[in-house]
Amino acid sequence: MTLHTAIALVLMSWTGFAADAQDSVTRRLDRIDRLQQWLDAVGQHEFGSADDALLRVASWDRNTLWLVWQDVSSVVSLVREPSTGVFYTPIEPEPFSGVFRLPQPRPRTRVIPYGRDDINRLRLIAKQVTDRGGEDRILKRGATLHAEIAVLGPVLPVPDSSRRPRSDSIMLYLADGQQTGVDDASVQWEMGRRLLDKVKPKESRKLGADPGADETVRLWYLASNLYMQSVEQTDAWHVERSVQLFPQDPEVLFVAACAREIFSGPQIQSVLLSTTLSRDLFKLYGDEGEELRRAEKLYRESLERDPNRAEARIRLGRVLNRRGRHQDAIVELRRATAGTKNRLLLYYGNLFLGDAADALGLAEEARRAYQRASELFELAQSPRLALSAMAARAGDRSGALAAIEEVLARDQPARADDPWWSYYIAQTRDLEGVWTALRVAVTAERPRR
Amino acid sequence: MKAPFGLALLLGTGLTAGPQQPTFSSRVEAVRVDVLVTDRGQVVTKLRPEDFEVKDEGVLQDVDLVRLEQLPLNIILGLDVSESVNGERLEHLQSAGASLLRGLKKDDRAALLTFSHAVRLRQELTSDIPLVQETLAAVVPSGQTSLVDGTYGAIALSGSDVGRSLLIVFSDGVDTASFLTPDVVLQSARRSDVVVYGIAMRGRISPTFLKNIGEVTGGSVFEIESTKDLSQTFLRILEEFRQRYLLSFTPRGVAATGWHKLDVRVKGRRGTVRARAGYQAGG
Repeated sequence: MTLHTAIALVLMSWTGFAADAQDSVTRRLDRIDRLQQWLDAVGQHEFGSADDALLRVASWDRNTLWLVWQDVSSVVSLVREPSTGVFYTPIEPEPFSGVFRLPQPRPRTRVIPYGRDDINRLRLIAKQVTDRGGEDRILKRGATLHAEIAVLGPVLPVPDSSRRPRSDSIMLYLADGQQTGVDDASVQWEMGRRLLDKVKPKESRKLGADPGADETVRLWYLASNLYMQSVEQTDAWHVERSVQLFPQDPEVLFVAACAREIFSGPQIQSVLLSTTLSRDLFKLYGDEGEELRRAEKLYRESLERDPNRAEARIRLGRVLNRRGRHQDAIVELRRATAGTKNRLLLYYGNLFLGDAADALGLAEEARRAYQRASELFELAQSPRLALSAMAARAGDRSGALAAIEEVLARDQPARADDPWWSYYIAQTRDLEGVWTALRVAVTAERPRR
Repeated sequence: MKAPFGLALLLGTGLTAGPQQPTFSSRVEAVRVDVLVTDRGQVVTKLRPEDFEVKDEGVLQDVDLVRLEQLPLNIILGLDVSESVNGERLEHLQSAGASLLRGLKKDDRAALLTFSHAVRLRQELTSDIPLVQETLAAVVPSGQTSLVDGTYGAIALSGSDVGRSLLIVFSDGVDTASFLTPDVVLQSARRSDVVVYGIAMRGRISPTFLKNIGEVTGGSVFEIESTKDLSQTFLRILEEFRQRYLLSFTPRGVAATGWHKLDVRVKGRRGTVRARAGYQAGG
């Protein structure tokens, strides 16, 4: 069903991104230099390329990134409140309390033990940041740099494994519905999220950070979520966070709904049912029924804000079919197929319309829908299998055979023959366009005066 | 199973049966029931028609017994060749397939259908067994698993007019890619004469679909610890299938359409009977 052979499931672990990031004296002495290196890389990086700036930051380990994030936070504090003299950092990872319902509503913090020289240098850097376009510009450029490291990760030179960046999540590698390995998740996404959490657009009236009011942040979440879906990497927290920040945005809601639909699918559910890992790691993933319910809610919310989003309606129809609500499904699918001319969407729409009609005993409508799907993609197996099964159930064995003989006998079926095989990543087909929009937006960020 | 298929089967069988004609009804409405009888794990052989009691919707029927030695076998291999079946698993699978194919007799036929995300009929039913072996040896695994779609494809292709059909479905994992739902395939299986044996890897997820399809068709499911056990399992299934009985009866005193529940027993002796749960009659 996908173009990729392995998928990765990002899970939260109980250990923190910061858990073993105690500053050694040595680290403290050069941490401001490292911050300066990071700022230089953020300024120099040409988006879309694996340049020296990107490679340099990509080689940093988890502890280094943690310190950089602390120091960037300190700089942001100084830009916004120059009189700041004491800087805090969380002891625990970021409080994901909205999801995990942790007993303590606020994270414990500690004072960052900067020396006087460190603080003086931070003040100079804060001024430099202001002169270079403001802290939001740096935060967004930084987040995009880390996103590009995550995207380019597989082709980058791999650092020594003991120094590889680690995060507070683990990555579960899956192939064909089976767990094949466990590793640390990419810390880069988390770094990006943490940086963006500090964005405060000029027009925002909130006292604190307000990333949900920023268009570039929205594009960052769209691009990153779509990228993860395109390579079948799932990170429930990333999805959750995007919806928290942009609860009214039909695009974000649509992409989040797609993620929930993916979570409801056999790739993820088979792991939930069979894993030997602690159930605590899967807190953000529901069972099939729960994920379908969440997907339906998000598709509906997306459609409320943009009723012409045919793809959301078609996918909603499929989710309703899977929930056994075929009557509701057929209403959505009839409307969606009547309202789009997109060949791919018409294929999916007719495939699922056939399914709904068949389940409701509307044999003629089901047959017509499957036939339309078959005409749109002549080599597709799925509508032929469905037509064949209808004939078989009606006692027409020769008709059942005739419907599938040709497509099943093909020598080398290609992935493109049947879009059903790519259903779970089809929504990412404009991924490049979204990334381009993000890069353009980040590059165009102007100084905040 | 109603009508033309039953008739065609019986006529076809007659043509290949040799001097001793099988005892069966030549009426158009004949229903075939493939039956396995075991007693404390051992297959019971040499039973006669009068040893069986078949009830169709609770109504006792007159049973004929088709002599199996007269009937060639149609063996359909429906094999998972998704990405997870790579390396050693593939070698075991190919070796098991070869063992089974070597165990076929002169008039037997075999077919090979594989499934990953796509379902592929690699070799339709043929008596050229070495060709099927060669085809199996050339399989390269990739992609995901569409077990339900693959099983459906194999059932649809198994409707031979001649002989008894056995479908062996092997999958090493869960279905991740099918479009068809298990219910749709189970409904189709109810109209088929094929007996389905499933083989799955033992794990935390029960092979529910294969169990259900085995139950509906009178077959079974084997859960194996390792693909090293595949050859043994394939041969066991073939051996077991050869020792089954094929009962035939013309339904009397029951409705002409709809789902008919079957109850098959052996009279006057101990034994466990495995047979299809029923059949779908009419439209």
